[in-house]
Amino acid sequence: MTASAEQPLLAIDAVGKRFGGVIALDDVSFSVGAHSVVGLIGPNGSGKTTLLNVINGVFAADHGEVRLSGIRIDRKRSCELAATGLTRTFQAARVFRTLAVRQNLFIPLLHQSALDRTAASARANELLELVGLTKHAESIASEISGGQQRLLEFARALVSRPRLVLMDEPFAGVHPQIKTLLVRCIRDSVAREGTSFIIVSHEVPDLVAMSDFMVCLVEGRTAATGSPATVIQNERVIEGYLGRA
Amino acid sequence: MLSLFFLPSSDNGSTRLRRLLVWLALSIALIVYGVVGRQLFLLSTLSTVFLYVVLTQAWNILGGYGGYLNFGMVTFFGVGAYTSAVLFQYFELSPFLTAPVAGLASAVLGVLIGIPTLRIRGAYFALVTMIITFAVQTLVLDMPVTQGALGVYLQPVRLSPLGVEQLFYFLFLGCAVAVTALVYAIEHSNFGWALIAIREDEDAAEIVGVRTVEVKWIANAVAAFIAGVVGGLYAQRIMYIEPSGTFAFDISLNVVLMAVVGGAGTWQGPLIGAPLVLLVADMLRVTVTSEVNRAIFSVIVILIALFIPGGVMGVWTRWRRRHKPKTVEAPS
Ligand SMILES: Nc1ncnc2c1ncn2[C@@H]1O[C@H](COP(=O)(O)OP(=O)(O)O)[C@@H](O)[C@H]1O
Ligand SMILES: [Mg+2]
Repeated sequence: MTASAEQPLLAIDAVGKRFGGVIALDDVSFSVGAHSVVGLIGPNGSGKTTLLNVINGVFAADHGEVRLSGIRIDRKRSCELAATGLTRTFQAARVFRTLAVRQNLFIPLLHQSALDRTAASARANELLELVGLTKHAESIASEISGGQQRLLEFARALVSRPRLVLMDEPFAGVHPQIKTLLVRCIRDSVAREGTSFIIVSHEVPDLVAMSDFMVCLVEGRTAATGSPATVIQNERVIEGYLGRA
Repeated sequence: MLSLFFLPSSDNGSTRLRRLLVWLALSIALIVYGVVGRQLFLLSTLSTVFLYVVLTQAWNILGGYGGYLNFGMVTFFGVGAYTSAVLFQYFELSPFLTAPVAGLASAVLGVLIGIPTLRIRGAYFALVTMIITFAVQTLVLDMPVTQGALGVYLQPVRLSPLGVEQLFYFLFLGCAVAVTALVYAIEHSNFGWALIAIREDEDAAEIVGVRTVEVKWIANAVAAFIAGVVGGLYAQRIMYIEPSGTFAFDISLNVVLMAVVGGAGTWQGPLIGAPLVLLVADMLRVTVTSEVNRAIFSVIVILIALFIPGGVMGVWTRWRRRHKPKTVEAPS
């Protein structure tokens, strides 16, 4: 594991979730260390999005525990988790469409009591710069391209300096240039701000390159966890997801 | 939660000031007319406009900014009216005194109704709020304390006919100005931005830290309070209330139309929409005497909703954006 042995940033312990007859998650356990990237892979329908939803309070787990820095979070609301530094992006970018790009970045800051207007502006500008949207700061969010909306959503997740960001298929259907930019931004915030990420993606080579740790789900179970190299060579992962070349 | 003026505005200070001055001048003109005006009919019509401005602004908080289309604003209004009327009936308390109590009664109802309904999104929310109006109306018809279909009588205010009109003219004008100021403050506050985020994408709002449930509740309760207060005053104004007129769906519908036509989610929208809708409705009533006028009216409104997004304010904002010089972009 990437975390120091005593207390990981996020600990997922025997989490289970079913929808009617479908077992979406079955005893999933792993942990995420501080300033690290965890790559989450698995075939469609294997429970990746459900796991993110459970971690971030959209669904309650049927059983098991999720802890953030040792504190139980599996019965908390998403908005409470945002305040403790856990946020996410969605499988399809979801921005506040009629607001200006810059205004989108203010929404997560509304709830930070310590932050004043000047500091908020400075922080927003910093992120606009990071994701290359400075020129579009005053554009209406629905009027920028899909790829730019993804960058905006990413910036919106980071603006409040979260400790952990969950990203659901951030590279699906985006232009290679934007993908490169996203990857660079993720690396940058791990290195500079100590943010951790759980990234769901089917772009296995990219994920292998950027992850410190990987998890593969197959039919709701953890088929393998470990270093990227070991996970992609794991028999069950090849069998259940990657297929034989 | 309502820390003000947190977000930098896109307007610069001087244009904002100039635009505020226009509204200020209008308010002064209305005050002057209230003092010197002698036409009872016009005073009374304007009072009705002010009353609708209040209701539409109240609706605007959750509906315009938050995107939750309440088609049952009249529930809060009616409960306020009945609260004051019943308090007069049994304790001889003047509605002028009990209007705040009427507001509280509505706010309590708003909070209670909010628990189940604010979890419902989209068209179902609109439908449920409509159904609740009928439920409350039925309750009022059946409860002994409200005297069912008989209604409740109040005592006339001891003033000349002109004095009465002036009194309500200024009362409703005062409420309209106060509520508009409140909505203006909300629009420029963190609370307002939280509502807008909910309207744009409630899940995303929640995930970036907006306490969506609380924000919606507060918005609904504040709207209910305001509608309840003017409901109480309205009871005194018409001096007799009964369930079908007090809980008329037409009132709920008018409120939504006024917001949509003027521009929902802007503090100016109700100021434009309320007089405009009442004017068009009156013109139709005069020119098309049959029941068809309501249908024509609805068609006009649907066309506006479909083809003029953002109502009058939307047109104005788009026009302005096209005609103002581009904001200076940071060098890249
Ligand atoms: N809200 C839901 N209601 C019912 N079933 C769901 C829901 N979300 C996910 N599922 C089911 O759970 C399983 C896992 O889905 P998901 O987590 O979306 O997979 P992935 O993101 O790995 O493609 C699927 O069988 C899916 O149909
Ligand atoms: Mg998924």
